[in-house]
Amino acid sequence: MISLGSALLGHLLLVQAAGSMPSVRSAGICAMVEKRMELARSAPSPKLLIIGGSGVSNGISAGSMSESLGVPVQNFGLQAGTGTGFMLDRAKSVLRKGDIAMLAFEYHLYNTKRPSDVALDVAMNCGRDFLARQPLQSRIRDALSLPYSALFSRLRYAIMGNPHNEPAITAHGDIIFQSPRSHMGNSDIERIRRYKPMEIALNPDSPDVNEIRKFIGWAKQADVIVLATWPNTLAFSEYNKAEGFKAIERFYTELGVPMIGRPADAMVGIGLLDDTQYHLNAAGVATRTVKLSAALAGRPDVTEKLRSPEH
Amino acid sequence: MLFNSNIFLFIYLPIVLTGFYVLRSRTNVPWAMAWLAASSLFFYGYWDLRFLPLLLFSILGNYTLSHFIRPGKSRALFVAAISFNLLLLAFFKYANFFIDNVEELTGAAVPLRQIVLPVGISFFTFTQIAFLVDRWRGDTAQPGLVNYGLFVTFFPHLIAGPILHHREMMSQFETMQARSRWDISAFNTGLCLLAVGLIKKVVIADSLGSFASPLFDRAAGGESLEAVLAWSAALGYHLQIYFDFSAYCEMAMGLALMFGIRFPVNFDSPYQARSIIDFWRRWHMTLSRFLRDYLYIPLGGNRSGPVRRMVNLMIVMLLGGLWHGAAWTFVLWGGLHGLYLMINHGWNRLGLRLPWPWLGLLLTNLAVIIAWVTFRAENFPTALSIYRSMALMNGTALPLEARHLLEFLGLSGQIGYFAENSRAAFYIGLAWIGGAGVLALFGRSTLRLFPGQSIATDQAELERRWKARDQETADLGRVLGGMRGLTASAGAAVAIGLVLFWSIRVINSAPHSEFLYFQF
Repeated sequence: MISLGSALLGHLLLVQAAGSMPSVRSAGICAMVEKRMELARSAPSPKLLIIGGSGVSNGISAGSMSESLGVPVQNFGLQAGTGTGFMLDRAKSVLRKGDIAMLAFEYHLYNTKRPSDVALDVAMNCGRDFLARQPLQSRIRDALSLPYSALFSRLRYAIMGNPHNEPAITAHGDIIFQSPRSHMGNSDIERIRRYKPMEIALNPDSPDVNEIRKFIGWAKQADVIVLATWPNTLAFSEYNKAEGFKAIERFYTELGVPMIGRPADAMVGIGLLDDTQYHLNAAGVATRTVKLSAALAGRPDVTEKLRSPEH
Repeated sequence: MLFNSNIFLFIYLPIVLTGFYVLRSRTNVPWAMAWLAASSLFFYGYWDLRFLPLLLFSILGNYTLSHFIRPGKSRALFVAAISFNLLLLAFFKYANFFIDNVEELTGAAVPLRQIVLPVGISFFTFTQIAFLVDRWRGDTAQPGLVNYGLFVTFFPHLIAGPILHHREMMSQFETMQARSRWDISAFNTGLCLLAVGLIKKVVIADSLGSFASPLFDRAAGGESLEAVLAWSAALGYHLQIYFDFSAYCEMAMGLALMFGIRFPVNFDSPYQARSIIDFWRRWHMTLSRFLRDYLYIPLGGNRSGPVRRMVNLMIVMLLGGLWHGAAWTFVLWGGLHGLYLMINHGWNRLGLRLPWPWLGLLLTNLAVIIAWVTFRAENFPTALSIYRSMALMNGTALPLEARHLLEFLGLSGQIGYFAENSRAAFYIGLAWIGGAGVLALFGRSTLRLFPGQSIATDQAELERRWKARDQETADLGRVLGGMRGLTASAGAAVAIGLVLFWSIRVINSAPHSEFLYFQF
């Protein structure tokens, strides 16, 4: 019992002492989060804020959309690992009355059971206000579950600093591609060719789904319009029969959120992928953006709202 | 309330333990027992308050009926009492299954639906049936209501067993009245068992489950798994259920010991069995005991010749399968084990022997793995799909990472490749199977880590078995069995604390996970 108590106390002290320091991973993500928040805050309103993980960051060009639709559009693609709760919390602080929030969350976020390690790692660095608003039980769980890899990573950062270069982004929050070609080598392409379709499903009890639900409720109060669209992913013929898409669409429809486009609009072949199933290369981003812009152009009710500053 | 949850470990258990020991030392034992019974009812009600009246109804109904049952007489009342239990079980556990089958056969729609299975009903019903039978046989006296209630509801066994026999519990409750000192040694041993069980559950079993379950789900979704994946799924589940059930049994024993109460052993390294007969002497031992004493022997056992014995075995195993769940997959699982037992008994009757002892171990595990596929699969088509894959009928592709090796061996042209979307998770899963497999096949039972301590009601019998087994199988069971006298040293106490700390960290970083046996 003494050793258990000592271990618990030691762990909590360690978390308290090291928690506020950045880790190698959280430093990179937080820098990007803060940069995008700053850009979104300074963007004119009403604006269209495209919210999601790296699938948005590395998959949609807000600049091109802004140009083609003639309305202000910001890329607010953060990191799916941080969870919908954190991403939407950051989005709330930059959304203003009359803005439109378009949700484009990665498929796995509709079926999570627990926040990921990344979520806690990042929130402890640049989301302490977000953590402080969580229920006590959740904060205890977080403190007890913080992986030691995150603590070691903080030590590494303190000694070595951030080894990664931050990617350059435009005023719309889009990543500036260093090379228009894919980062995938032949062996990666060979692997991805053999991939199986993902399980597309919606778990209504998922903590991430619950955060989306809460955000939509908040948006109604704050006079922010919410739209949803499909995340980029590798195309499989099996998806034609998958029921999960309908479940996701039903979820949003029941909450009064229109879905923009069809799942197939966001599905691409291997040639348009950058490195993962959610990340697109420059050609992929262009293709996806054209389709999304076209789907939005077909919704004049939405684009008109963005063009009327008095809203 | 799960044993592997913060609320159980940090709130419920400390409060119940404190209340029990304070009441036992300050007032008297009956109050302590009443506290324990009330706490157990709270534990049950915490799952789902709607079923607490059902549990109370079952206890009070059986207790009242048992009052009027006279040994060897009042046959009608005895039959009514047994029927009362079977009807409750049939309604809550099998009504949906029955209706589904009627609808399937007749095409008619039956309106009755949505009967939720009350957790633990199979266990508390069997426990009470055994009591009623023994009451009618004259093998037991009528206990007081509090002791009877505690015997049925004592929280460490209420949800998933072991299936207790009133004889082994009532005597302890009565002995406890004369005892007032806190048995620190039993408490420490209980805490060790709880810690080891927690690690087995949250670290080993849940890791295996998160690997095997998606593979079974993919097969259920219509995917034809590669042979390697199908075998990985089957082996993953084989080991998941082993560590999950082993963990539960040890935690239940440990929790009971923390109150100074001993349970019978329910799990004794079953994957080290060298025959199916031996397997069933080591897996869910209290269920085997119940089925033997209250079904197999009343059916005639082995007293009416070899053919009748085989028939009896098959009936017992089919019903044993159905007891696990209201689905034909469970019945098939029971039927497979019935068949295995028939073959095993036939083999023994012919006086045949395997040339190498390890072959028995291998064949037993293989048979058990094959049966677990049916047990785990959602339905027959899923089980069939996995069996087809295991039988190489869906191709013989290997992971892409094996390509270089096959090229080196000159076999690359003959074998295809597949790639899992999450390569790291796949190989981590295989590593868990390897590690857990070594522990299950060669590790020494946790219960043997406490020499000289009485931890189970059937300790003497077990020690006799272990001794005989050690003489017979000197090569197995000792490979990882060097840890002796675990609770004796200060270092071990520190280790147990750290094991608990590790478990608590894992509990808080993973999704909540129920024990597999809670669904039965």
